[in-house]
Amino acid sequence: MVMLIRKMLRDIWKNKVPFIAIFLMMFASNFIFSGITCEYNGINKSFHSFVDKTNLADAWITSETLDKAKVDELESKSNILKIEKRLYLSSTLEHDKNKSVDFYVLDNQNSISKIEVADGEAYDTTKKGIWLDLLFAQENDYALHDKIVLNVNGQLIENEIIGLCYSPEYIYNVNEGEMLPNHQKNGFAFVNKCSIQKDVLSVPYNQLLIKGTGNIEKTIDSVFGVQGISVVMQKDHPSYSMIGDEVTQHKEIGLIFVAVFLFIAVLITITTVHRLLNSQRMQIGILKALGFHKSKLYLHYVSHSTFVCFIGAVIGWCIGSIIIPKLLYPTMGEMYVLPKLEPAIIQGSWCLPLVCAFLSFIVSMFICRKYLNDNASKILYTNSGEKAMKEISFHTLNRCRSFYKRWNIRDIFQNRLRSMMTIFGVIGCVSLLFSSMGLFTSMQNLTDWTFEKVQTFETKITGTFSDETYRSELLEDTFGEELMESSIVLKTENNEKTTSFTGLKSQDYIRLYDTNDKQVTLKNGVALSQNIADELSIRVGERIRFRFSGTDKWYMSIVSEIIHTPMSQGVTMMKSDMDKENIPFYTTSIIGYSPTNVKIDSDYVSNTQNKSDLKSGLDTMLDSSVMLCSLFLFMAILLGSVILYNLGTLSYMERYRDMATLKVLGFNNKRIKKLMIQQNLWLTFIGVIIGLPVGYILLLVMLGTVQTSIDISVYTPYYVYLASLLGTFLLSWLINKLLTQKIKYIDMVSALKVNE
Amino acid sequence: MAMILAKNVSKIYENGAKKIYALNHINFEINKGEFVVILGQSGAGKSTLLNILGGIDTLSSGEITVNDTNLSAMNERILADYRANEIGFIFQFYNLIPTLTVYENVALMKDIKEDILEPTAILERVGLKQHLKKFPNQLSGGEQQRVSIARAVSKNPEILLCDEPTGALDSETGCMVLELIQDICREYQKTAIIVTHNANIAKAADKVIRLRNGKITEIIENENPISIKEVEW
Repeated sequence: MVMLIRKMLRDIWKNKVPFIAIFLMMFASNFIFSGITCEYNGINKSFHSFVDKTNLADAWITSETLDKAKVDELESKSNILKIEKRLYLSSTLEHDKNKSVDFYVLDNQNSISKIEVADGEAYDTTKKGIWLDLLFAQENDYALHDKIVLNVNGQLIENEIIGLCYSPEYIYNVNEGEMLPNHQKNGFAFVNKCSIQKDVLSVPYNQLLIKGTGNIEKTIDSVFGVQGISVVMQKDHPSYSMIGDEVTQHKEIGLIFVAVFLFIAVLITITTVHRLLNSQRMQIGILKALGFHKSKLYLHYVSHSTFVCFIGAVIGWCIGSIIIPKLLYPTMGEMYVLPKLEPAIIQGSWCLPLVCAFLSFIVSMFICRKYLNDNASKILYTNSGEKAMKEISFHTLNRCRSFYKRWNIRDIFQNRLRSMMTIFGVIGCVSLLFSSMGLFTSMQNLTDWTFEKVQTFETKITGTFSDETYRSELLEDTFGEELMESSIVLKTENNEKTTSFTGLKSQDYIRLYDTNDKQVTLKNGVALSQNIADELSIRVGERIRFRFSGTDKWYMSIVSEIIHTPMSQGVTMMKSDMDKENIPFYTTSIIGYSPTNVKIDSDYVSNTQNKSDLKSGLDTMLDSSVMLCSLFLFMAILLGSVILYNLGTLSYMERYRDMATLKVLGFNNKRIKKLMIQQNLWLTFIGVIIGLPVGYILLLVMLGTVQTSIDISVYTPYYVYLASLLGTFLLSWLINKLLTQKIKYIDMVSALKVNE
Repeated sequence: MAMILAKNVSKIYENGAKKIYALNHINFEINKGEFVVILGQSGAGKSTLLNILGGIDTLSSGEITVNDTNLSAMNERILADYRANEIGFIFQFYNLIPTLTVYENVALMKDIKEDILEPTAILERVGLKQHLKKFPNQLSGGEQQRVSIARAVSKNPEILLCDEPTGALDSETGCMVLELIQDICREYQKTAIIVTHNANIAKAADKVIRLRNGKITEIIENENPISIKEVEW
């Protein structure tokens, strides 16, 4: 047995190229698998442990006035476990109005959506002072025991910072219209009611935090109805849904790539084991003749690939779980605020290396059957080198004048498995190249499309524009137009969905594009974003009912357009039509050019966003996906190189004797190179032709994993096709070039001396 | 004037400090149209000599001229041309291209030489007219060797080099193959050099070169070579 193990190790060394290929593919698939699973599971675990620890609310009710009787009635419901009241007020730093702080006054306890204090005093109902957002404090140089002065509705509230904290409600927190959290500009703060002067508290509590079981939404509906309240369920809260979508996306993309690499690894295993056994027919015959039992030989030959697979898989698995989270977590950290973000191995994921080894074992067993089942004499005295060739009767083939072509065509058919492997390898390479580049361009296009085509304004100023003079001045100064953004409940026959509503005065700064990306002009009715239309199965011409969140008045309108819009998914309507339908239009933002004269640090303005900030925000948000793209691009090149080199070597080895014969007959190296390159280029061409649509499908699948709040359309300009195509051909050509160097060194004498 | 002239030819393999002489200072001449048999035991250096004559191996010292051209002065490209134009190889294991048919294996030579003999005619001559569309693996060993002969002859080379052409065949088939080689050489005025360890064939040769341990032990010129048919196997 020891001798057979030695033989195995030497066989592997002697055939190192294909075995390195198996190793690399197993390494790659396990690297990605363990890395991505560790990464998303780490996020998931860190997130859930934080959410569980802090007892995140199951639902939030916001209302200007909360009826005490109704609150009590809700609390008495059997499926409602606990309710906490709080007052939410928006505030800014006293010295900088651009820095907003969500200010919460807690009624009593903080047992729902608890804050997690990172530094300072734990929350206490009796302690005076403020618990401030840790990241906001860090970005704005606030330290524990510093004084902070907040401007709350024009009143200045000064408090000592007694705690720096995280909140589960602020895991993902962006301003409306922004994509990336800005901890320097936005933060939160909690105080208990004893820290606040009575006059501030004259504002009644306006938020309820609810913990419960079962259908909480229905219970709330039965108590409050819809009038005057806005309900957010946990699953719809951005802190909850965004991270869930992110995890799903990483999981799906990771699995797609793992499947591709595993598939290729199996293909390489098949060719390698075939090649090994074919080249060792004599040895197999000799070992059999010497009395080695079939089962021992099975074990010996199966162990070659199984051993390499296992080693590659284990190393890939171990390294992947360390490297990939390190690569992706920095960008995740910019998006989500969690006190602790650590990679976590999914229980049982360590089985993958074992599964890979088992897969290789099974595949090798099947191949071994063909070679090990014959008796020794048959193996020793039949000429295995030449495969049975049947007459090929297609006329077109026989019409080929060039022998090189005929030879190569027949060789392809004769060595179907090898040819198929090459084609599959090229398909894998080109589809990965295409999809990773396509993903990159699609994301790049999302930014361009959003900020160059759809939103053409320079600045978006959000606030309450009740002062008509100020509004007019601002409109004039910015050459702007008014915009209404709100939340609505959209109802169809079978579905109900909370989505966004955009009211436009004109289509100068926000343009609408149909599903063919053709600009459309909306006059009557509403335009519905494609994602929502697909989700609710709504078509053009159908009627929809909607009401604004917190109100109970239903409006009806006809869907005139299904629009392709990148970011704000929902309903868009023109002001003129809203007026006709008696739908109130409130200006929530003014969009246009940057103001030059009118001051925007007014009390009316709560937020100002510039195009460049929005753009860089979106870019940062897409960073983790771009990182994944780059990783896959690298893997695609690795995959392509390995598989093309491996199969090229296999082809060279299998045709070595033929090429030596040609050399002896007087063919020069150039002609033989041509013969070899021709076949490889043909197979590459076939692979590329099939690989491009496969890559397109792969890209669609990957983009399908992106959360529904963003509509990324496939954008693959001609250079993506060209780069994938030329990239693959270049790779193929380079590898051919490398392989054909070997032709020079064909040893005619020894190649022709032996029969096998 | 000799067509092939070998002067003091040596082929040395070095194994560390040890030198192994595959050919040790050998000298001989072969004239045009001669049917030459190189005899010797395994390891005598016969195949090495044949390979050097065929331009697929190089000599370590000495000189071989073929039609006044010095083989050792040729580079890789010129050697390929030499093999394409002057030499027809017949191998022990036929070395046919398995993915080309019988006809195509012969017609393949058109790719390296324009004025080859008509493949169909030459295949008819070797008795394979009915097998033109078959692939090598559909033929017997003797038939495959006949294809190999046809392929070698089709280039219309000056010299046919045959390395144990009957080594993989039974005696009856081997006899037929040798007879074919002899007949074709006579018919087409070719010089044939056959490497074998079968001493009986020597009687049919115009010239016999005996090798032992890389040295020529004897060169016999047969005044009256017998026909292959008369050789006892």
